[in-house]
Amino acid sequence: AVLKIVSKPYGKIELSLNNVLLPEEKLLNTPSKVDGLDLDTETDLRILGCELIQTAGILLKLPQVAMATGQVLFQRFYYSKSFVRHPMETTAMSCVCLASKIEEAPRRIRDVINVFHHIRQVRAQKPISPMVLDQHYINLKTQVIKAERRVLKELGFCVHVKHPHKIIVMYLQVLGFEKHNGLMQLS
Amino acid sequence: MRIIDEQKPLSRASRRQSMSEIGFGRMETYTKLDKLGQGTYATVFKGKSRLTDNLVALKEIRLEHEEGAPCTAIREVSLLKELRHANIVTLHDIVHTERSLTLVFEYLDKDLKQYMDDRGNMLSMNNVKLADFGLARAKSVPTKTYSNEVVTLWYRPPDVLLGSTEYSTQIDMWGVGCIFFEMACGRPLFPGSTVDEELCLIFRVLGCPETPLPVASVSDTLLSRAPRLHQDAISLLTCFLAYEAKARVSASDGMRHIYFKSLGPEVHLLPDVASIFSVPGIQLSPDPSISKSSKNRRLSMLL
Repeated sequence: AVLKIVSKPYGKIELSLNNVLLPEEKLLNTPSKVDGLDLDTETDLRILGCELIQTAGILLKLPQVAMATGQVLFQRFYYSKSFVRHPMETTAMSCVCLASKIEEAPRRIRDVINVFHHIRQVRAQKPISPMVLDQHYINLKTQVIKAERRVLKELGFCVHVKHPHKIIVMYLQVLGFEKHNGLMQLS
Repeated sequence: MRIIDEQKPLSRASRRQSMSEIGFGRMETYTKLDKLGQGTYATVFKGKSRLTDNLVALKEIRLEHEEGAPCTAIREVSLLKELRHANIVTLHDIVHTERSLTLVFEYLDKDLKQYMDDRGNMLSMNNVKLADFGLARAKSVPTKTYSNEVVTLWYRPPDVLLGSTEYSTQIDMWGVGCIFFEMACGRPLFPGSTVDEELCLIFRVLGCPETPLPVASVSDTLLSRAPRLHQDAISLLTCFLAYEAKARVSASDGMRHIYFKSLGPEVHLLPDVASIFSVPGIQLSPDPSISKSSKNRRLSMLL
């Protein structure tokens, strides 16, 4: 089952550091909004970015925790920078690369680019053809490395995310629900 | 639900803005002096901050390879940023450019070996500090297993040497024991150069894991190798060197061991960022085992 962790960007990280909760005015006045992007489009971009990270993660055979981390990094980044100035897809790719390193299942940038290329073709219902290793590819790779650096800088290297999933499972075990598959999977 | 930190007058963004205006995060702020050492992924330089005129250590990580920031660097920075302690090296600044990632640390003038060698003629109040967190890891609810290729061979515990990958904080307590011994007598306890040799050296002192030697005989062996250690110290050392990881003393219990009693109860109330030498009565003094006047020593720093 594919977990969708999208609509509650900050709901799931309050356990990590003590400064991760954003004040209301920051949640309402995002950098994208300041740049003139309407809220619906921003929400769509956030959801799309997280779905891309999830799908790419599955194709790259990453552990689920890496996708969750990548999505948190992605969401946090766009409370600091705007979708208008920083393209969603490049950031999503860099978040996959970064999360794979943080969660100790590193993937090569080349593989990440290939997988995103594949997803793009499937979504557009185009015939599947492999990525050509031309100047465009080289530029894209440089962009991903740059985006990774930008994400690290914006988040001040605070990239260790404590996810609630394991803790929910632990609570369910304590409460004696460990046999309840539905609840366990939901966590 | 939403919490606004009222203690900070500046927002994070405006604080960062003003830090960057002063010169943080830029290479021009630091003057590179001598090269101090070179590791597999980084070079360390002595440097000077133009902001404060203080000496700093510049750990320069090259980013020439094609995969962005190395995960060791990400790990080291993200963990060090959260640590504030009198005995842990302080990370002052990070300079991240296209070609390199430079970590700016406070400058420590000696490593532990040099520090111990000089102890005779400098009874100063310097703190020992931990540095290099390239292989450190954040602790959380354990689920996944790790590699067993961890920890310098000399300080690697037998369970990991024999292939265990289900380790936790207890693996470090074995290493603490080894370094404790090394500080006391100036020689490493188990200086093996291969895994097999390392295990042999351990077995010679502790016996085989199936037929471990009795505590008394282990104590005698350790005592004969490190005559400067007293009975209490040997007792603490054997608490660290337990075969079974679960049986090893934890860091917090270790600090309550009788060996540290001479430091007095105040040391347990010390805030993280305070030096142990801020406790009245604690100072370095020449090796107490030479004068044998162990009754009135208030120091167990083995110096």
